[in-house]
Amino acid sequence: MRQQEFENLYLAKWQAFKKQCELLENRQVLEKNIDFSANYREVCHNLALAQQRGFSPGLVMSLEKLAARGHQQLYKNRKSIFGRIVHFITRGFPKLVRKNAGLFWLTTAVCYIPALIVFLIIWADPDMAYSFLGSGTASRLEQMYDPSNDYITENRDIDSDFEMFGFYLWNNISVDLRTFAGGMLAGIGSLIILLLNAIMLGAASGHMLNVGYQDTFFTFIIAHGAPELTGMVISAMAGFKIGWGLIAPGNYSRKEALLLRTKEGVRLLFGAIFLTALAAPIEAFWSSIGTLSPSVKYTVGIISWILVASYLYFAGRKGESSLMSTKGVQHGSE
Amino acid sequence: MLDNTSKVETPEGIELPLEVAGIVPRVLAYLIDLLIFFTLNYILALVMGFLGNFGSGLYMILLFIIFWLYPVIFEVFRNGQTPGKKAMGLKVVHQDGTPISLNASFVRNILLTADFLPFFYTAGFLSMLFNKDFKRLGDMAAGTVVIYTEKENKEDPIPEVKPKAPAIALTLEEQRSVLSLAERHQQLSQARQEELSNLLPEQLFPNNSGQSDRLKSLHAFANWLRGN
Repeated sequence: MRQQEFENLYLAKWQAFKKQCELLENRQVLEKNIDFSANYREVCHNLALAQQRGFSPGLVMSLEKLAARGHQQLYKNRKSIFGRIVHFITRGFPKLVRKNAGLFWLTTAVCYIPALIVFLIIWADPDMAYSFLGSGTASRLEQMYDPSNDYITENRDIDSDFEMFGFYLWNNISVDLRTFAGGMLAGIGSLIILLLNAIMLGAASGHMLNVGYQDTFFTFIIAHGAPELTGMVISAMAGFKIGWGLIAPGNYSRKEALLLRTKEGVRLLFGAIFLTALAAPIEAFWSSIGTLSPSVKYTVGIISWILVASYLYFAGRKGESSLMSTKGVQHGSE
Repeated sequence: MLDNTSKVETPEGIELPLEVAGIVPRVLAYLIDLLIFFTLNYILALVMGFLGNFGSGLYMILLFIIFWLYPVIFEVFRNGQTPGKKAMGLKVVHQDGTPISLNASFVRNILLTADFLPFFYTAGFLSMLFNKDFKRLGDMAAGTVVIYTEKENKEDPIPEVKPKAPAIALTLEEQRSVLSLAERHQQLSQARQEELSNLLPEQLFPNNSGQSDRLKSLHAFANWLRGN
């Protein structure tokens, strides 16, 4: 078949396909009887034929462009983002953490063991607090958590609570994102950010205990600490995941390994962001209430830790087992 | 061929060309986006300044959104194009040519932080220099490429002359050259077309034919090959 004949035969179809692409690009729906994927395959076939028969480059190029447009539409993700987010938070994320349980516990250890060591050092030798925190930070902390301060026992107005909410959201999530990005430096960036935060936590706790402000300090941090610290650990875990892909790619090339680990890493990061975002309103609106008795705040704090732990441990388990069983059934029927 | 086309094989067994974009258009696109970011940020700060503590809280929430999510929102919902990329005729897609997903867009934009290191985008710059698809670190981790958007190609029809069969059999390669040269007759100067026609086998043309006759018979062959 000559090129002209070929064009005469298919031109109407190409033009119709182009119209369909235009409709889809403008987020409209096609008529029911149009089989877009079959039309796309036909264009692909025409392109292959045109290339193989040495038809003119102009024709080949216009078919390539048509095929590329169809390709973009056919392989678009059509699931709603909202539904995917809900599914991820209720099931996907806790499952993913459980799947990477080893890495989770390792990262948790990397965070809390140094924190504990620094805490013990400062507890044993109070002066060490100034080495870890610096005198500026130490005195600022003392000021903030001094029980005789007015603003500890008085409730802040809602305006400044909201201001702090915005600040926590912006600051803490940005820390999560940078921790993840630090994974690109073979995980070292993530490690440094995590350790700095862990040392800060250990040093501040130790110092507050030594100066006797433990009640104001711990009642403040315990409730929101559960999602916030867990979020921090998981964002570091996501960073380690991609960092480890670069250090030990296994059976893949480094490029491939990076790609694969990042796919899982970014999902961990999304979960970490969710936990951190959850912590921000608790920190701004609950932790700041100074009028409640410490026992109430400790109780709520412990409940908060239990909730986070059971969310990560239990959520999505039901689906996991039923999925397994349906797989088994399918397997059996084959 | 030495060009910036990266071929992608699709499940349908065809190869789609992706025309990857280099450093300069991408830097310009980034600068445009940066300008938009600063303008938005300035307006936000100005407006929220009137609202006291509540305003400064809201400002930080909105700052979070425009600082981290501005490129992601545009890339995912606007066909892979931030305003800067759109202005430069660029868009970002997965390296297999499919539209960018939320996760990939998120990764490449968060990892801009890593590309910034150690100062002023040195890592990203070096990475783009050494990668054949001009990928920065974020693109490598996300599996994305920045390409030129397909421009509508002007259909330049082959000039209609009476078809004539060439005296010798042409290889597929030579047939393509003849057709390509005829299709580009409006884009190339007369002299350049003549120069290019010299690359074709000499036996194709009648002996001692003048240069303008050569082009005429070339167009006749093209019409014949096309089947007009």
